[in-house]
Amino acid sequence: MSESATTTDIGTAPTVRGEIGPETVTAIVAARNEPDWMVARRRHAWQVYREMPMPTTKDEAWRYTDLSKIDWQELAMREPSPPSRVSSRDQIPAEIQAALHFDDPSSAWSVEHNSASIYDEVEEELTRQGVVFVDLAEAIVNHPELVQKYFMTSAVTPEFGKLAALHGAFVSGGRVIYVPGGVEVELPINTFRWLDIERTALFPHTLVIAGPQSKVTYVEECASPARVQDGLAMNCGVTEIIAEEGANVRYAIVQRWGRHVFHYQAVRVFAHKDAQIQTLLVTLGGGVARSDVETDLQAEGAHSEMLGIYLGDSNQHFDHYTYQLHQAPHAGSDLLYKGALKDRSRAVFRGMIRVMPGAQGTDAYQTNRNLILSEDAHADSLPNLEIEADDVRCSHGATIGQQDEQQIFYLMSRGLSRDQAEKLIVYGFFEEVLARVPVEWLHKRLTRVIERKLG
Amino acid sequence: MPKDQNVAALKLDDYKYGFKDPDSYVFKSEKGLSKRIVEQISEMKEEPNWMLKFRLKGLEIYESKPVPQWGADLSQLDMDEIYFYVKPSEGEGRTWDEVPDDIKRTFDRLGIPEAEQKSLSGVGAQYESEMVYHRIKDDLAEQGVIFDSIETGLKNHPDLFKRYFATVIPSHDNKYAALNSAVWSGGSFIYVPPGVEVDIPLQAYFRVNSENMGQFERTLIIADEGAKLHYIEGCTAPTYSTNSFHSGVIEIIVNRGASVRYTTIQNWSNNMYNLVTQRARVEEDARMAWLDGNLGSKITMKYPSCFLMGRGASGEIMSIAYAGPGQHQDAGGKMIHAAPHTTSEIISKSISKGGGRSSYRGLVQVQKGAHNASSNVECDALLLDEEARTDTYPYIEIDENDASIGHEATVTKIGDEQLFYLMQRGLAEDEARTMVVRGFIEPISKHLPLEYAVELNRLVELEMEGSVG
Repeated sequence: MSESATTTDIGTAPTVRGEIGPETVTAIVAARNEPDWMVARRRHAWQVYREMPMPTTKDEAWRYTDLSKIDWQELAMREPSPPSRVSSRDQIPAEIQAALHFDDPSSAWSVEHNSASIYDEVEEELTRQGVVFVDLAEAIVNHPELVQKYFMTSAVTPEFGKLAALHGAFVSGGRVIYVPGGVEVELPINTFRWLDIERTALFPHTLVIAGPQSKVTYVEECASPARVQDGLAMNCGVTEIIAEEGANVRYAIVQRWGRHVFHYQAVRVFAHKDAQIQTLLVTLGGGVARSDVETDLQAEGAHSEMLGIYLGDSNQHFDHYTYQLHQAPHAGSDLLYKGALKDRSRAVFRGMIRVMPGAQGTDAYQTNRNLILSEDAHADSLPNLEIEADDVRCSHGATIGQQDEQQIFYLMSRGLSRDQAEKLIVYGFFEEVLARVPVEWLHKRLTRVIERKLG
Repeated sequence: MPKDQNVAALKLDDYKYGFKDPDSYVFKSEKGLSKRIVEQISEMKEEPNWMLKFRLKGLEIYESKPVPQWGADLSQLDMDEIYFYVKPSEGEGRTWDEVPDDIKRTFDRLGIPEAEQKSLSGVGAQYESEMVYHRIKDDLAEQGVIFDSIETGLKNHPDLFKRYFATVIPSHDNKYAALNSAVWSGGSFIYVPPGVEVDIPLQAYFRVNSENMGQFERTLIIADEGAKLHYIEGCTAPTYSTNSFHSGVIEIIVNRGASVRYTTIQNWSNNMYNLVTQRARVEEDARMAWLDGNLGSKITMKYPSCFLMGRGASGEIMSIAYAGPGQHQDAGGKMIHAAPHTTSEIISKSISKGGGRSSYRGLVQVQKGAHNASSNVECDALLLDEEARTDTYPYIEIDENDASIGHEATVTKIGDEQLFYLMQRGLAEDEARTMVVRGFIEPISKHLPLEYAVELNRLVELEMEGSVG
């Protein structure tokens, strides 16, 4: 691959599998007809990608997840010709319609098929208030000031990591949400992502910008049909949340891709003064799923609640990396990640609370709890602290254990079968996290999804 | 608390072990490390050929391994500036009269002969690279307890030595274990026969005197079935503007039903790099307890470990660290559960002040087949001012579903409410602070022999001096 390839006539360039090269960037740029500034962003990200070594298991951050097992030659680095857009709910392909839940009370919806937006709807009230909810391509054209200012400039930059840089170069879709100052969006905004291809890498981007004193809840759900099982697919996503002064943002991502998906997601919150943020990661799908979830508390009074649930079975491998960065005094963060592991599944939790010099009055907590449901399941927990201010309250805790036989015995003495009793204990285990999710329908639906996965 | 006594304690000088004596040696290697020096050490010790081979292999492994990048900053440690072997005198004394006068004076000043009389079962004293004194009480020797320098152990008990040496910490374990394997000198060889209980502690004291000194003690302890032992090591050195280096390897075999307690009070001067590997192999129903006190040194990287190999084995690590200006204590411990019904506990308390950094780094691992293992880890850090730093890096790796594993850590400063309460009771602010710190370390200091507990409290008072405001 050489730089001269940048002049290739992309109109006829075939999709070459495993082509992680400058010509792919060029091909994407040309196919999308993007403005120069966006092209420059992609090229910069590409440069960063090229200069950064691929993480190996010798790097602490990737010690338990081996990227060398991904067969990059298997993956096309850009999406095939996009599926067609539809203008009403009933035109959405039946298979996708059946998988999503339009009944859940919401103020806006978008549906993506292999990272291309095929349908969206926004309540008029939101549009009237100036709320923007569009796909990334449209945002580049119609809201360039937002994208230019925020797209991979502050929350997640390409320098964040090798896969984030790759994402920056090859970004293939996603959503931009902007809520103007003072606007409170009461009902959640939803995106449903459907992935039913193989041997392809998708790079969806989520950019949430919440203006001062605004309020918004955004729920992303990722799913695949059961019929797709074989060839590797990759989802390399980045979520950026910018919460301006006093903004209140809730974000949930429910990942239940098919098992053929290697899932990577970087989620990073950039919190200004007095911003209140809650993130929830629900990890159920994918073969290997790695998430980097960070909160950057930039100013006083900001607070971030970081919640996570994971439930693994068969030979699923989940790796969560969390970071609570306290740069300013009197900010708070509270993390609770809970996971249950069946069969031969494996989970890694690695968390860091970092309190910078001068961040006095920090309150930071981090808890990871693991429930091992089978003899062959495996959990690793690495809750870390790095504290450079003294007037702080910080603690972390981690546990790994099995179900309490006394609890099972108690439930069985009340007439439940052993199987029922065990499931009830797992629900109870997750309930501690779900109870903190303020969206009622989401809470209920997550309970159902967990139920289904427990079998 | 009697107020006057406390204030008097606060007036004590700084590091009281920083005095130095004129250099005194019968042999000093050239600076830096080479194959020639390794061969010289082996030759001077009149070692069997297998040991020379072992040393040279260690050197090879040392040279092939990179300097670890994951812990404290070792970039300022220049091995070319270090003297790897200094022999202070001919032979090892069995009475203090046999020890050269100037060296004996040093140990007198450190209070070792006095402590030996009052409260110990035996003492070993190392000066630079060699043990200059080793003695155990007659009644223990009569029961078959061996307490020798490691060199004497190799000479007099070659079979026992060879059976266990480097079995717990092989040379390739880490870069500095490899280095120690190449240039080891001094340290203790201890064997406690089955059923013999050494109730009063044995102690080894390590003193570095000359500048740019490297000390590489090697200790091998075998507690046979049902035996019991408490071993204490202490260490100090003069303060120099250049770096000194200490890298020991301590291997302990705790056979079935035996119990060993190993206490370290590390109080090296603040120019010492202290990179130590300590590990115990703990067999069925045996018990190992490490008490690891890291108060001195510039940089310490030290993680005492228990490999719980037999059913019902248990391990305990109590770690206490103090990091003042210019110090980084990277301490912690490892618990490897390799057998069913094994239990472990780690309690770590650290205090940081004035830019000092203390890190807890630990591993709890439950291996496949180690059913019903349980482990609990508690790490508490106290920060005394806003320049202080603390880190916690625990690794928990669990391969069995019936393990019960917990880890908790907290970071705090001295609370205004605590101070207010104590000052209301009539204490001055500095007294109140000292009392809070004492209370903080009390769960560990209460396990120390009395003299050491007193010494630790004295150090705390010393370090708290000027902390008000």
